[in-house]
Amino acid sequence: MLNEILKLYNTHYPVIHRIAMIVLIGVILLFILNTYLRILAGKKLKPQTRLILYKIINYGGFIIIALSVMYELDIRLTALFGAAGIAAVAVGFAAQNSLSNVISGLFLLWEKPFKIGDLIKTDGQLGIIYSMDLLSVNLRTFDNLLIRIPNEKLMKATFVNITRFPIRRLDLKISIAYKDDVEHAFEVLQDIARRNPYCLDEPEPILIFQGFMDSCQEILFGVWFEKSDYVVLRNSILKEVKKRFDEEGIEIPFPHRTIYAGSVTRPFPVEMTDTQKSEPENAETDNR
Amino acid sequence: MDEQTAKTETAMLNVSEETFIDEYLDTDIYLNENKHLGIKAGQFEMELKLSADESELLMRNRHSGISKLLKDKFESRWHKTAWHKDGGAIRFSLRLPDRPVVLKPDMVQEIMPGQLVSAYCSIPLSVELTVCSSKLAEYPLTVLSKTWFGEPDEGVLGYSLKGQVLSSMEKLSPSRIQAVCAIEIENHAAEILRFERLCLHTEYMGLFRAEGNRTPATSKCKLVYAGRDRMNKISYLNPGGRTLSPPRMKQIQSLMFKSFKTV
Repeated sequence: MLNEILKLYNTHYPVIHRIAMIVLIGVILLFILNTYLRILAGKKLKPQTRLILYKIINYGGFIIIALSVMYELDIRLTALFGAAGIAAVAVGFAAQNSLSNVISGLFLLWEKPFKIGDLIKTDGQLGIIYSMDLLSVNLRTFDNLLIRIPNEKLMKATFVNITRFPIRRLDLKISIAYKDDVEHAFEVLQDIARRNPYCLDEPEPILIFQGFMDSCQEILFGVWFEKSDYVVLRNSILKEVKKRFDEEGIEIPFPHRTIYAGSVTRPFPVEMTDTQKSEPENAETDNR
Repeated sequence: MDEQTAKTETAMLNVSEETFIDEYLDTDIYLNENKHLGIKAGQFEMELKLSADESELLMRNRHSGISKLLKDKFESRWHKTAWHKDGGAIRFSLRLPDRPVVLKPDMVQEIMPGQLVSAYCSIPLSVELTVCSSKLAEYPLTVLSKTWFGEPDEGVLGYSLKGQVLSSMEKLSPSRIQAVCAIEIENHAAEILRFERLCLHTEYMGLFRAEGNRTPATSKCKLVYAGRDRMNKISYLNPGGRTLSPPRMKQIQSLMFKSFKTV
């Protein structure tokens, strides 16, 4: 075996040397370009642009190396393409989905509906764009799971890019009791927005009286905020609404359930039983 | 580092706002084992001292009179950084806010076609902390609320500055932790210009102090309004005096660059 390899080497060593040189120089060049892209250009380029350049350099580089090696091995590409014609049709049918994903991926890169780091919601899944690959887009969810979505599916689907714009509006539906004054509730809500440091003062908060609901008067309270402040704003503003409504005597109504046993006018009958014998320690509580 | 570890037996040297601005700004401050500084300027408060072996600088800071919701953002526990025994120094310098300032006058002012209006306002300043020649942090001396300037899909996030825009510099109440900004608005359009809000891009503005003047001044903002659908020109001019801090960014003049920078 070793002798055969040596014999082959002795016969073809100029070609083997040239191939080794092509591969070596090609890989070194790709390494240098990738390093440049990561370290030097990485600071100036957006992650999306860096990703596209990374793919062009690597896929292009490996194709050039492969073609050069084939040329050295005296594999003529014209003949190869001719022979591969029939095979290509068969492979094309088999790789239809993959090809569709590749093309969809290119369209997504071109159209830029999102970029790496954006928060998107699609098909009930919420996650941050983790990577955009040849065949799929990967999302990282907040509980640190990776969701792979084929490019083709994403291309056809409707998705929401939550963090596309620097500011967002948080809409809260606030319910108040019928006895309460809507104007007073408006003033309190405006004051809450004014005092919260995470609410932007421009665009101004919106207050819309939504209407008379089954058991409450509903107000839409929308405050604008910087997208990175979502959690802290939501937590603080809801706590503040509850606190201020309690202080101002504004009631937040909630549905009550009344149980009737037969007749609508008579309350549910409660029968007092003597539990002292069976559970003496709970007797006082039960009779209350 | 816990609070207990950071406790010191040396008395703290309290530095008031006046002393801080007069004696501690733009000068190298050398600390030693026994020196424990307590600085207060505007809403900003900071304590600085060296560790026992003088190898680390310990510090903590807070802002007074802010919403408790901002405590995490503007208050730090004791933390430390490496300190060079030889030649180590601390330096504080005044800076303009790190984001644009959106000015909203008390009253809307209408500027007639061909009219030139001069206005003055005060911009609260920040302080930059440099330790051993490296910038460590920047702290606002007055905490400002955030606002948005522009359309919801395209605009600038800045600090909100509501208040008086006055016609004369003398009318401004003097403050050593704020800088005077002179604004000149010229209406070259055929329509009336309503001055409701103005975004001052502090990143293109420098901070200066004229000889004998206690209040610093920013670059002068000159706005030439050509019309609603026309290219309006804003330039920031040097008002003269000693430079306290240069602009953070160089103003982009090239129209070609402006047009294609987002592509």
